[in-house]
Amino acid sequence: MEHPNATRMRRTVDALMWGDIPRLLEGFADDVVWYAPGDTPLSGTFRGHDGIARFFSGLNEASGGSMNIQVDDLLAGDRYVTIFLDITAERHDERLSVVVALFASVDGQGRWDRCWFLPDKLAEWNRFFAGANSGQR
Amino acid sequence: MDEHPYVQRIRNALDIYNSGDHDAMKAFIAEDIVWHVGGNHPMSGDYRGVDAVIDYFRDVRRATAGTLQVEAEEILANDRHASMFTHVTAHRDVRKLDVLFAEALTLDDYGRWSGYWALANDQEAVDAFWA
Repeated sequence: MEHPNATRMRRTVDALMWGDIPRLLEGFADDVVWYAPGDTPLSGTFRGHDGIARFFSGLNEASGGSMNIQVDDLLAGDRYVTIFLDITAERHDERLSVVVALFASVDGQGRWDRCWFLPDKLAEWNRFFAGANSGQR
Repeated sequence: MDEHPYVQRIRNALDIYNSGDHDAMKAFIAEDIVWHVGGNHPMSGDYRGVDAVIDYFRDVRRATAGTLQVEAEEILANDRHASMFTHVTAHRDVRKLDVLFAEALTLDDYGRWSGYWALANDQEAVDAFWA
């Protein structure tokens, strides 16, 4: 039987795939902290549901809605989950193809309270999202 | 839930890493590994192949006078991937590093590390440490 945290993460990523931000946010603690690497407007630390919404709105906008997310693998324990996502996007003649390891820790209510969003090819990620809009930080 | 055997294997690898026996680390690393070091500091970049990665380990140990220690808070693994949350501490002259890393590994058919990438909870602190 699948670990309950694995099922929770599949639900979160499913909401993300559908672009359903309200359903996505249900999975996160109110005071969630989201760490995103790189050197783009979408890099740094995002806090709370507003931060998560800004991060994904920024990704969606910068990729012109072309982002495709496929689940490759999932590791789950009682405190932490890591999901491996194949993410592709296209904009004009630019193409993005990365594996993102999304790490999340789980609070007492089964919600994600700290997340690390790690693309494997950071240089490619930086190039693609260099002009992204992060909203108000 | 039973622990995957690669979890213990990664614990063993971290013990060996912390001991500074870098030649023994070769047993855990695929020949064609790609090791991505993020951030914006002199160690950042991609290290390709086991020899380049071992040299990188040696450079890190030398620069921190052997003080860098990696302690796993949690290790998750299956046949294809592993992930770790590690508490990393080190000294470099008067500089101190004390951060939590999320680390991702891809594994080859023999359970050896074929890809690595990571992110700290305070990347600015990591950049400042290595600057």
